[in-house]
Amino acid sequence: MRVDNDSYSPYEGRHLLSIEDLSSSDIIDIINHSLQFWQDSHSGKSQQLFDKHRGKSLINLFTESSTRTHKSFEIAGKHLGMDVINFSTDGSSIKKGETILDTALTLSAMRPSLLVVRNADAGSAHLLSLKVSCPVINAGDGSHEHPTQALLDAATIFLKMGGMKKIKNLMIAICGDILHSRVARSNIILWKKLGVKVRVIAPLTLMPDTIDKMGVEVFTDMAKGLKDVDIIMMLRLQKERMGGIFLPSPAEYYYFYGLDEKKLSFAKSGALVMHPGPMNRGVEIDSAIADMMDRSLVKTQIEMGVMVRMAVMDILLTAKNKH
Amino acid sequence: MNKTIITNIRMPDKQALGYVVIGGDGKIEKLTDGLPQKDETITTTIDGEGHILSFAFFDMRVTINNLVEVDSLYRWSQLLFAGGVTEASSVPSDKNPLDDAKLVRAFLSMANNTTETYADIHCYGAMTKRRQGQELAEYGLMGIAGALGLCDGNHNLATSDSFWRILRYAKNFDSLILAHPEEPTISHSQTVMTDTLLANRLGLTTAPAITEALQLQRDIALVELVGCRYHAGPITTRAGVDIIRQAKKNGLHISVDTAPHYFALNETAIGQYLTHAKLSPPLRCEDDRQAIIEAILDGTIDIIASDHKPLHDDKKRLPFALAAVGMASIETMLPLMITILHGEYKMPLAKLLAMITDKPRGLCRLLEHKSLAVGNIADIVLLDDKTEWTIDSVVFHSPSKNTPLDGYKVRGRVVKTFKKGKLVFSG
Repeated sequence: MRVDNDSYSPYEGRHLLSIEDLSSSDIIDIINHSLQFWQDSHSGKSQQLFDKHRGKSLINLFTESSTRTHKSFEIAGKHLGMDVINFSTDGSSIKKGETILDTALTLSAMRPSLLVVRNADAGSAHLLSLKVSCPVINAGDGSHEHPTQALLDAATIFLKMGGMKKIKNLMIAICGDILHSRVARSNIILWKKLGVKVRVIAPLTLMPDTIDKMGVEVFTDMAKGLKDVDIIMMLRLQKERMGGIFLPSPAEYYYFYGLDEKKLSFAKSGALVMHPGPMNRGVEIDSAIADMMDRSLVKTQIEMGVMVRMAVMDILLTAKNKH
Repeated sequence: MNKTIITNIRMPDKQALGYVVIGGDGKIEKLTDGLPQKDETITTTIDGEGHILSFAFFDMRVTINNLVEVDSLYRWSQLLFAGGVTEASSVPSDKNPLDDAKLVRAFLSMANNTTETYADIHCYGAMTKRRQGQELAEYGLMGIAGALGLCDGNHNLATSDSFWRILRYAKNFDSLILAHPEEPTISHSQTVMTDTLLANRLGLTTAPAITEALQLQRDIALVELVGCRYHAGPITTRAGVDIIRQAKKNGLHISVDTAPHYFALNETAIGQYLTHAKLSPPLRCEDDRQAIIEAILDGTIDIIASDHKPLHDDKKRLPFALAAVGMASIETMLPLMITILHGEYKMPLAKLLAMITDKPRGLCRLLEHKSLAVGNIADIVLLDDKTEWTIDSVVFHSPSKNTPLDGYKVRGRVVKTFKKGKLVFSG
C-alpha cells in the first residue's frame, strides 16, 4: 500500500463525475467490467471479489435523501472488502451550517480511498473533485448527472439484449420529467456516445427548450413517441411537481403520459420497461406493468447497480494505485 | 318535407333581392338572387322584407354563471337569439370557476342536455386553479371535455415565469390561451377607472391606460418565444392596438377582440358615478376609443364579442368603488356595430358581420358547416340596417338591465333569428 507523501493536496487522477467526461470506449469498458462481475457473482466466484480492496475506505457523502443509491454504493464497497462509512445530513455538521466543501475536506483529511457524493446542487461533485485528496464518484448532483445510473441502465440493456451489435439498432424512449432529471441527462449523453437512438416523451413544461439540441427526437404524445420503441425508460414524477405550475394533477399526467397497458401497446411488441426508482405507482406507471415479470427490468437494474458501482470503484482504485 | 323559404332578402352590402330555402333537415338548401320558382315541398313562406341575411352570430365572450335551474338554458337562449346570437362561449367566473375537467364536463352537459332548439353554449376552462395565476389547470382533460380554450376571466394574475410555463403547457395540447390585457399589479379590482381628469375630479382610485400595453408587451414576448395559440381581449387602448399591429406586421399569428362599449363609449359615460358604466377593463379616453375604431377598420382587431355580464341591480346600486363590473350587452352589440362602424365609419357590412361570425368561429375551430353556404346548418339571422330606434333596457330580453346605454339612439337591429332552420326569435 502506497502512502501519498502529500495527502492533503487535490487528487489529480481519475474521477467519475459525469458521462460527458467519458469516451465511448470508457463506457464500454465499464459495462464489460460490470458484466464480468455479474457473471462472477452468479457463478459463485464472488469470494475472490471480497478481498480485492480490503483495507481501503469508502465514504458515502449523501446530503440528499436516498435509499437505493446509497445502499447500492454501500453494498458495492463492502463486496470489494472496503470499510464503508456512511455520512448523511441528519445529525451532521452540515446541519450546523458547514458547507459541502468544508465537510468534504474534513473527510478527505481522514484519507479515504474513495469519496461518493450526492448533493442537490449541480456541479458540487465537480467542485469537490478539485479540492479533495481522493477520487470522487458523483452519485447525483442536482439535475445535472447521475453517471452510475446511466451506466447501470446501459449494462442492464447490454445484458438483456446480448452485446453491442444488438444495441446499435435499438430505439430507447425516456418518459417523464426530463427537465429536472439527472438520470435523463446522463442517459441521453451515454446513448448518444454509443450511437443509439433516443427519444424523449414529456409535456413541454417538463422539457428544456433546447432538448432537441441534445440529439434526441422530441415527442409530447405517447402514442406517437412510443411507436417502434424497444426500451421504455420511465422517470419518476416528483410530488412537488404536481399541482404547481409544471403539471395540474396526477390524473391529467397519468391520462396522457402514464405508462398503462394501452400506451405500452403503442411500443414494439415485447418492449421492455425500466425505471430508476422509486416508482410512483398510478402516476407515471401502472402498478401491474411495474410488476410484469417478462417486461420490467427494474429488479435487474437494481442488481446491476451494485455490479456497476463495484466496477467503477475497482477501476478508480486501480488507477489510483498506479497514480 | 317541411321546407321553409325566406323571400326578399339581401346579402350584406348588396341591393339585389334574393331568397333562401331551408330544408326539412334544418340545412340551407338553396341561396340565390332573383325570384323563387314554385315548389310544392315548401310549407312555410316568410317575407324577408328587404332585410339582410347573415349567418347567425357567435359571441365568444359572455359570462354565464350557471345553467342549473330548469329554465336557465331556455332564458339564455331567448336572450342570445334576441341578439342574433346562436352560439356563445362562457368565461370562468367566481360563481362558475371551470378550473377542473369535471366542472367543464358538468357545465357542457347541462348546456347539451336538451332536445329543444336552444343556443349552442360552449365554455373556456380556467387557465389556472381558482384563476389565481399560480397552479396550472388540466388543459388536456378540459380540452377533451370540450373547452374551447383557457381563460382566467377578467384578470391575468400569472407572473411572467408562470405565464411562460402556461404557454408551454398550452402549446403541448394545442390549446388556445385567451388573455386579459391588464397588468395585474397596476390595474385590478381596486382601480375602478382609467386615470383621467374626470376620474381625478370624481376622486376615484385609478390606473393608467398603459396597463394594457404593458401586459401585451410581456405576453407577446413570451408568445413569440413559445409559439402557441394566443388571443387577447377586450382591447381598449391606442397603445395596445399599436403593439398588436406591430406584432402582426412582424408575422406573429395572434388574434384580438374588443367589445362594443369600447368603440361606442368613453370614460365620460361614467358621468356622475354611473355604475352601469363600470367595466373591466374600464372605459378609456376619447383618443383610445378612436384608436379602437381605426383598428377595427384596418383589421388589427379581428373579432367583436359582447362581454355580456348579467348583474342584478343590487350589485350596481352601490358607491362606484363597490359596485360590480360589467354590463348586459348582447342585445346592443349589433345595433352599436351598425350605427357606429357601418353608419358613421362606412365599414362594409360583410366585413363587419365577419367579426361576429366567421372570425370568432374560425379562431375557436367551430367553423365547419357554420357559414352561409348550401349544405350548411341554417343558423341564420335577418337584419334591419335602416330603422332608427332608442335603447330602452326595460324591453330587454335580458333579465338583467345593467346597461349605460339607455336613451342612446341607434340604427339597426336583429329582425329574425333561425336556429337549425327553426324560427326562434322575431323582433
